[in-house]
Amino acid sequence: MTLADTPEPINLLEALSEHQDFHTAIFLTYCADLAFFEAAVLHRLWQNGCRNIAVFMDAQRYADTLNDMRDSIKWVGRRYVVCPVRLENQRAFHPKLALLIGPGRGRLMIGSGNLTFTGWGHNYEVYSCLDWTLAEPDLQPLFAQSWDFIQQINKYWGHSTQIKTILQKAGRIAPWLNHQTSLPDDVHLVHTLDGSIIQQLTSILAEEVVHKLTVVTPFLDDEAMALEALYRQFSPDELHLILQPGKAVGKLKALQRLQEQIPLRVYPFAESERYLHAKIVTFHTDTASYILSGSPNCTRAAMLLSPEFSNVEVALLRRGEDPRQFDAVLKNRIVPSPLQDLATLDLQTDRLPSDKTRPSTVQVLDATVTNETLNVRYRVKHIPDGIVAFQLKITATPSIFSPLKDFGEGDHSISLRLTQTHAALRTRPFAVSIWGQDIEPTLIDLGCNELWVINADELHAQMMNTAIVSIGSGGYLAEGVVASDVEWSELYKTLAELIELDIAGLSRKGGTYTATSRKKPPSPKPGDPEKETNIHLIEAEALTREQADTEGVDIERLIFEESRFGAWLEYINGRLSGASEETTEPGEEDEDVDARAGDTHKRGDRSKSPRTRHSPDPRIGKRFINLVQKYIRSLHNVAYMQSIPLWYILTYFTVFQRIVWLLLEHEVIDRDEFARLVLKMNIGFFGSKSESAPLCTFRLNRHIRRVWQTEWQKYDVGQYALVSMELALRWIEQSETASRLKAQVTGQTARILASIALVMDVQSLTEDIKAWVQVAKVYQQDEGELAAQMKERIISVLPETLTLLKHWNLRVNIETLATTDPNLVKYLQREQLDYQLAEYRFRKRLGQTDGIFDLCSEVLSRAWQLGDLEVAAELEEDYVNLAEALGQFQEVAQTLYKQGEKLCRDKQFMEAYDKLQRALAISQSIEDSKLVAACERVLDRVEFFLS
Amino acid sequence: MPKQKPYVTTTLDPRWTASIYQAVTGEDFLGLRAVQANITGYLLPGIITITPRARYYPFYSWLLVEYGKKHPKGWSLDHFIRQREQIFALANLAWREEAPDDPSTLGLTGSDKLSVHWGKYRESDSVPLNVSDYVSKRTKYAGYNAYTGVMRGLAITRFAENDDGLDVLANGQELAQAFAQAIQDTGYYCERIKYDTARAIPKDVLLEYGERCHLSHLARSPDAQPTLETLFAFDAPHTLPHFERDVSTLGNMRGTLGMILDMFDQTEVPLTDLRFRECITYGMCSDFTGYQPADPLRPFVAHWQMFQLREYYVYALYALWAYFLSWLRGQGPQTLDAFCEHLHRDLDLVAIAAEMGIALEGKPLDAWSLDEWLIALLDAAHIPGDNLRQRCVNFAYQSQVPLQEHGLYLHIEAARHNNLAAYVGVAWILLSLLFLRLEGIRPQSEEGWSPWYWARFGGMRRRSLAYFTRDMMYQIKNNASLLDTLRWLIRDYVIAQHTITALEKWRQRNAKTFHFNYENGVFEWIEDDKTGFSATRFRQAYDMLSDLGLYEIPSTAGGVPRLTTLGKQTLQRVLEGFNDPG
Repeated sequence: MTLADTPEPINLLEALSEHQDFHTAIFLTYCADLAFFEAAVLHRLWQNGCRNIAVFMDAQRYADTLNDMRDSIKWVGRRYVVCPVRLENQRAFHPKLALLIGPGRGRLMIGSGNLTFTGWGHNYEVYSCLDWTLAEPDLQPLFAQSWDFIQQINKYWGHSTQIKTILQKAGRIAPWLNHQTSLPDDVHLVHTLDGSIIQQLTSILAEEVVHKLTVVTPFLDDEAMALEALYRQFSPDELHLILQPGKAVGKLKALQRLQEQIPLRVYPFAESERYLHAKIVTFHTDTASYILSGSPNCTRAAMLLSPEFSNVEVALLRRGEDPRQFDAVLKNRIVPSPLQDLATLDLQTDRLPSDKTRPSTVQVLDATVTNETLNVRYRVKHIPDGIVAFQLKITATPSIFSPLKDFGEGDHSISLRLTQTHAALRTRPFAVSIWGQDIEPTLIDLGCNELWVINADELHAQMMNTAIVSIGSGGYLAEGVVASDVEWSELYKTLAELIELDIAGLSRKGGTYTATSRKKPPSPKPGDPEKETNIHLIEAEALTREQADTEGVDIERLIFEESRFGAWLEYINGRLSGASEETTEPGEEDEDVDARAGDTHKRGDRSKSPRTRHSPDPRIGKRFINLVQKYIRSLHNVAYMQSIPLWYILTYFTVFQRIVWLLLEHEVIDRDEFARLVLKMNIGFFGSKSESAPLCTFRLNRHIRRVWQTEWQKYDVGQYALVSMELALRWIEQSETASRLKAQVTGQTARILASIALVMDVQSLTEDIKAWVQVAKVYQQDEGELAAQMKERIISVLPETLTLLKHWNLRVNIETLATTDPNLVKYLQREQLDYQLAEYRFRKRLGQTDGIFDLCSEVLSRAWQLGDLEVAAELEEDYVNLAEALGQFQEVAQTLYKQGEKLCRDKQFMEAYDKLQRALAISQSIEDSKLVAACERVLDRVEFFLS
Repeated sequence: MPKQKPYVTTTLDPRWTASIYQAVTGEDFLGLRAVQANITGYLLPGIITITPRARYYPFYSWLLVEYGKKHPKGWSLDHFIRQREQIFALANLAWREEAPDDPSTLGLTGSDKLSVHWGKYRESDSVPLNVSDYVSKRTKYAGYNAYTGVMRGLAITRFAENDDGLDVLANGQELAQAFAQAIQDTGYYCERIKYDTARAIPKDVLLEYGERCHLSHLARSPDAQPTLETLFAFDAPHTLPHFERDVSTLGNMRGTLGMILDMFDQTEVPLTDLRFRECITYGMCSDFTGYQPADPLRPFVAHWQMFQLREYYVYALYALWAYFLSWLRGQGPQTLDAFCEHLHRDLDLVAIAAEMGIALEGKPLDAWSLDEWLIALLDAAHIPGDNLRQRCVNFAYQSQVPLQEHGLYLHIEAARHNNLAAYVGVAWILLSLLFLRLEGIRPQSEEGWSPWYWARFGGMRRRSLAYFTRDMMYQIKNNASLLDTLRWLIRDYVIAQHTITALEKWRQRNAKTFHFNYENGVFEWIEDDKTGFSATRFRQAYDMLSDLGLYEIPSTAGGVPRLTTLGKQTLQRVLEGFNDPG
């Protein structure tokens, strides 16, 4: 293309959906037609798997949309989130920007069109579309600046926790956004949070002498001040103004006045069919040219005012080395000769409705449904005269009013449990606002803003409901039946696509992926913990950060659950939200068939006709075995195990357990091979007999921890491990050739159990009926029989497990004593608590009373010290009983008092009363007057509340 | 969406944006009429609005059978049909000029082009057969295209297994044979194979063929009886089956055509499409003198009533829509608030009601609650009852009331769409009456199969009648004023409905059918629209019953139809069929 060529027009919708690897889309706009957004934009993003979506728009336009168009909008707060940006001082939130973000690709679109049908597909608008990829990273600074711009907007004007989450997820998915690199000189992101547009232009063009300045704008301020300021600032020889006759807004007199003072020429825009809404300023110098395009009109509010008074605008300024670089943009768009009579322009007055929002005394800041509870945050500036209470208005059909308890000035939060009465709210968007109530009582409209409620439950579920082309193959695994080579190939393709084993630490060799180091790690030698200690130092820092960043963990979890693999797993496990179809009335077409494309393969469809197992072609079977072996290798890859998010470690384990079983059932492998593979997987996941405690083993110390108890339970990790080993053992016992294997498997079961004990109470594992049913179903075993066998097996390995736990405790103690780093000490102490707790539970279970009081006392005091109230609560009663049995009444009374006091603080007065009464009786009997007084003091308070 | 040029990824230059639509026309801009088409399709599956003449059923059956037996080598069915149908149409046109009774060629496929062609060659001895584009070449199978669906619906044909052509069923073969019998002693029939490839046909061959095959001569031809049997589907085992069950609805032809014959039997006035609509609306009312259905036909009337109630409802919503656009054209760009202020200021419901013949005590729209308004209407109509529901039930089965849907419709129809009083005031009264009648008809339990199913049909997306009544009840519960209610209707049932529909059309066909722009809280007019009814298929059924000779209109009867003997026998047969427990 030469400079003289006119560039091809850009189809914004196609630009939006050109690539499929975006995770997040953020839009900034003045006004939005959300019905169009849902039908055209959201639809495309969802089809491409981009589901983390937020729209920031001007609060007044948000209010209009809610007021005028609410019934045409279906997915707001349920598939995407809209943030109204409320600026003070009559300012407008006016940027037009779309930022698409993925792990390896970004697309930034900056222009003049609002997020409406006309703005994206009818008006004459201009847009720049910029890409960042790993291969072409030059524009990264522009993306980083845009990202920062968005973050600032949310920081200043965003109140929504869900939007914060959306941005956090984006930040995690695309860490490249935060890198600081320098921007090329020839392109600048200009926005009004940093200063006025004219100031920034002045600064960037400081060295330049401008000969010609051309302005294209649909709006001028009443006095044409911005136009005049541009002239005064850059003193061009010629000032060209391009306006669309009959459409442009401005005052004729102002232009006429200006024309008398400066060399202003006005040219009509050559096309009249579509509305000219583009905003362009070009600067011609002797040696270069510049073009500014984006949201700012040539008005005072957009270009001249300082940040606290100006609109929020964003534009891109580009420098071209050739003075004619950007001429093509306006080529053939302008009538060649300037207007002689400006009156023929037929300038219009502003078409915007007057701002009807009156300053309200109450503002709704955030409204979200989580766990079937509506949470609303609101701010009361002052209470209007005559208002005696507030009511929450839920604008649905019909409207619902609920009284609010918090009435004072300041920020408040309320929670409202959704009941059957609110059934309609679960299927349609709804909004909330706050009304006043006088003494009558009459409801009074306080002019409070209405806010669409973000249904976080639905949003999350919808995001998880990811469209996966091959989701159907999950059904084969769920069902445990693969009926043809085609299905086998389909399943393999899905696994290869969804399971990421090829990450850091693995390198490609000769066309296949292999671990970097195939060498067996050296066996640890007794008395030589140095290497392990070094590892801990690195890891401890990471883990300390991890613990401090609980918010980050939540975001990671969300990202996992909303990933394609997460959705696929949920599908296999039958937990996928949205699996049950929404009920529709007869004749009501589903408008969003495409977005639900991923749901078309329901497991139920297949269940209609029973399918039979098919042994795959040996080549296909071999590919599966290779995949399993690759997984096993990755479990031994320290870099892999340290970098992959925790949820993948846990879920891959269960998925591969199921795959190995599938291979056995379809005669791809025999029982011996099954036993070998299962053993290797379990060794990879839990460590081998020769390895040290998980905490001291670098590749194990992330996932074998009590903090992940919920996740282990959710994915039935313990059950899969134990059952697979049990089945392996069952067959090995019948085999004459696998005696060595038998010894290995038996020993491994104790290690697995000890590891499970570090994460959760083994008793809770054995009693988790639901999990046993699920796992028994997978392995096609009778659930009752399986549970009984497993219980028996666990009992048989308890002594060996306890020995192992004692050994591990010792190792952890040594580690702790050898450490001087305070952060690491704190971390190790916390871990020590888990190890001791596991040992305590085992000893209790085995009825080993010897030394158990001391252990209980030590664990309890450590739990108190670390503030682990959950563990403290578990042990306190034991401790009291043990102490009473040993006649250590002082300790008993003290413990009971502590428990009572805490219960009192938690407002559990009945329970507190019992504890304190017992503490009082014992302290009286041992004549501990100080404790008696303390008990009586707290009892007084408890009795007061009870009365 | 047409495939566009590949998009060039990155450019720093700002670029003009492309338009994302094609300017095309469309219809049903509120997307409300699809429901009615479903009801008529259920009740009259063998007739659609583009299949007006009964004789085409035997004629096309014959064409299919003939093509199956023999056709010029390499000819597609489309090619074959275009040749024979061209001859059929020319024969009809030729005979019309010669026939003593001036038989009608209404509904003759291709008559626009072929009439001109015939006019050009009527004085010649032979007529060229070169007008194969008498129906656009893009329309596969020419005139048969329109009949394919209904012929499948009437069990004349079906898709062959493995999607391999068509099966002509026993019904179709019988029709074909009867049609062949009707024309068998013509020269055309004897040499039809020759004429399949002929470039011209002698005029006398056309005249002879036309006398036998004419659309209006069915009643006296051998194919009349099998056509009657097919259209009335006397053998169909089910009538009014549940719509969602996979059961043929063919038996409903018998009920609906029987119902129309029953109307012929009772009517004292010409039976027009409007009169038909009135009869199905009020046929269930004991005080309606225009039509009292025979007992076996009452279930059919009840289903047709739901069709027509929805017609009034959609008509009224379209009236609001047409007025809103008209106002926007004159006053816009404007906000919705401004429109509501206009209604508040200028809409005088008391005056409009007085013009309609009832006296109401008025209040400003924002002080007049919906509840009070509905009660006032019931009071004015002297409807007794203890509560709203009871009064609605009493209202639902009366037609002789001061305010009546059909009268209101006629009033709006006579006005121009910028008439506030008619297009908003009367339309609103019409919607109010529909609410009262629907509330009265609504069964206590909405589960199960009943005509009320059609009130639920379309759901929220198509603003079903059931949703409308439910939402009106919510408005009453919310103590909404009339202004609130009108705002809600305009916003949710008109503006939102158009927005959703236009976006759907855009998504499906890339068509821009928006009638307004909405940006920055302001509506800007683009184009007008109008209100109207959708088709009942009554007119087509009326013509077919005439083709079959079931009624006649004596010249002295002032346009009032009278059943012929065959018509009376057929009606009797229909009624007896329903009475027969077997």
